[in-house]
Amino acid sequence: MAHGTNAEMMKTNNKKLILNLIRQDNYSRVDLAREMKLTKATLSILTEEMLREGLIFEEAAGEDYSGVGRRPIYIRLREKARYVIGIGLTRSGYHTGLFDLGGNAVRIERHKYCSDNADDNIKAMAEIVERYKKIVPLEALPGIGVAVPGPLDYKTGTILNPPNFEVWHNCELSKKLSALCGLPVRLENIANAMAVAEQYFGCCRREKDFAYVAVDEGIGSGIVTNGRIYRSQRGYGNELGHISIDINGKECSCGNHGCLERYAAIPEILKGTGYESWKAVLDDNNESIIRKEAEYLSCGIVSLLNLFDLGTIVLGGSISEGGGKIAEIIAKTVNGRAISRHAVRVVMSEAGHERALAAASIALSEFFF
Amino acid sequence: MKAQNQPIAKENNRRLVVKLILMHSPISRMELAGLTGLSKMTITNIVSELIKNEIVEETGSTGSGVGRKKIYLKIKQNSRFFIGLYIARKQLFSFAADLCGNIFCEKHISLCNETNDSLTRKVLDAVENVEKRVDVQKIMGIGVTCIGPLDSEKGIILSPPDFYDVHDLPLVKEIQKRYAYPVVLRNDMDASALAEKYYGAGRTLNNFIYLGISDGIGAGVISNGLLYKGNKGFSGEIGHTCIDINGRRCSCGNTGCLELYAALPADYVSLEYKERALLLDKSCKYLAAGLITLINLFDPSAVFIGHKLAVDGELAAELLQKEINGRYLASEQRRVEIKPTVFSEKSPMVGAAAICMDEFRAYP
Repeated sequence: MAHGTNAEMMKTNNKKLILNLIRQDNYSRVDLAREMKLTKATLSILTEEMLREGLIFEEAAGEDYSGVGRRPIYIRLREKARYVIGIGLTRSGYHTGLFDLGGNAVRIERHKYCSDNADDNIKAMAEIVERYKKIVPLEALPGIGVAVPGPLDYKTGTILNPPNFEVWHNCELSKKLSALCGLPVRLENIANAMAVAEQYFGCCRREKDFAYVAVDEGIGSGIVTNGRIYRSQRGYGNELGHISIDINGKECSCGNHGCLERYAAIPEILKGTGYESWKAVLDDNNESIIRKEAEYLSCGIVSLLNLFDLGTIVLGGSISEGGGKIAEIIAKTVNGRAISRHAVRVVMSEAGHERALAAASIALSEFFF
Repeated sequence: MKAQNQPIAKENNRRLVVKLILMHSPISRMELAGLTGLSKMTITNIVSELIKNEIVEETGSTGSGVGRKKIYLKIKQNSRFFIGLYIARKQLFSFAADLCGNIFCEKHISLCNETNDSLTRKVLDAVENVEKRVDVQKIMGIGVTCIGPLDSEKGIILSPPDFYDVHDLPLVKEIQKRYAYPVVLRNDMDASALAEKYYGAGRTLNNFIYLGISDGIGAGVISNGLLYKGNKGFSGEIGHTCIDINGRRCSCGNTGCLELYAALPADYVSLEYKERALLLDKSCKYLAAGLITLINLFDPSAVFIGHKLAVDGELAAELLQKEINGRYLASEQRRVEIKPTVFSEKSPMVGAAAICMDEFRAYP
């Protein structure tokens, strides 16, 4: 809150807002001025500048326009005007990609770690970035987004101490990668990055308050509130897997009792059932396991809703493979239990599981939207 | 994200400067420029205007050190007033507060068997009473804190549990029928969190939580220096998070809600210390589970406890601190301080001033 607003920040803010609006919907200049409560003159100065920069173009509404009067001229995002690079780290390797403003992939690749030394791997990443830099004009490529398992210090771009990620502990990834390839680097945790990917390219394009809940070997959450990622200064938090749903329940390695993860993470729910994957449970349509999992997740999700007051829950990770039945059950359950009076949507992830795209979304959020 | 133009930016900068002076006073113009990222020139202009309007005053300069003496700024006492109301379950408190959060002309009346109409009448009478006793020219607005749930955006008291026949009451509209002042309505937990932010121990913190326990349990969250509001203002309902999936059904529709286990009885304050200590011990065991949930989700650097829990605040803080240590994630890397609020049971009242300050317009 401590930042004042000067003329330059005002302009950056307003341009971002325009890009955010036209990303979501049809807007003419008049519509934009009205929505943003700016005068047409002020708005035109901004759009003229953005036209010159090539970020937007004008397009007459199609034959199917059904409003009254003349067909309006819409301001559109020129997807091929700019590009960003996304790098998504997993425990076994990393995905890299070069994407345009519409999230369309120019390149997308998967790599194994080349050694168990972080610096060697950063060097390898920088070489890939150098390759990508030759594909598009340099002035059209403002930076790189990197998504990693949390916790991390997003301000300094340092990975802290994620479990099973020892090679990268306390690595100042942003600084090191940026020094090697000469582009700004933004670090974000993977659940938050996935949430932003849903916001730009998935099922939350017009949503301002929602959570992305990843159910895999663990349970993670990323939250977008008022259109921006929710994060604390210290980089912890958002640990849905470690809220207790049973004060007398199973002990967790984190020191707490009855953590949601100990019941609803995929390996836990499959334990003793004979199934080897969530997809197998669905293929078999094993009602009782699906209902049990839905009950556990609902319990955690209601807490999330009552604390963050969200409009939508997006389920991602392996729980989202093989059908949306569980989303329907959870939607019904949580809508009957949450405090808020507005209906909550529970849906399956649409942006897919591409970590490079999620990472690129962080760069898009930083530089454009 | 909202669009900005010159007048909006100017007003935002002005508000920001007032808030920063309030939270960091005594503070110099130079320090304000550093904190806001605004030019020294812009700060000087804003401050001059605020001094001219008697909102801010210069305070004694420090004489030590070489070079020119630094002049510090602070908010002027009694220069402007807010009318504050706190609607609790059984009482209605009314008072005036200045920009520094000093409270005076305090009165309270009891509430019982209220309807929308009778409560509205009592509220309007209370406003009138306070208005009579301060300089009308200096009144900036009316802040109402109330037990939830509310719709703050529309200014409506929705359906607080066990609250007589009061529900869906558009209180802000009712007040504005008679008064032209700006009116803000917020739930008592959010307001208490803002009280801590502007006037209490949270002034220099950007991420903290206020946890209020009485016969209900709720939280107000300050995140990156701002009140966390969520989609429609229904956030922070920690009392209605499940701590026992096999537990009792709650009237809210959920199962095993924290509130069912950790709330304090209505007569808690009037009990003997020994009895209170026993109740507290039991309550804190459950509260710890809720507290860990808050910490693992919001990552606050401090949690201030209040409402009835403030009666034995030190003891409760100690019990909770002991319960949670080692049980939240990354306990060794980050400390979370549990402290009683500095306002004892008055947080929601100071909160009424704080919600006005939060939406403060220097020149209405």
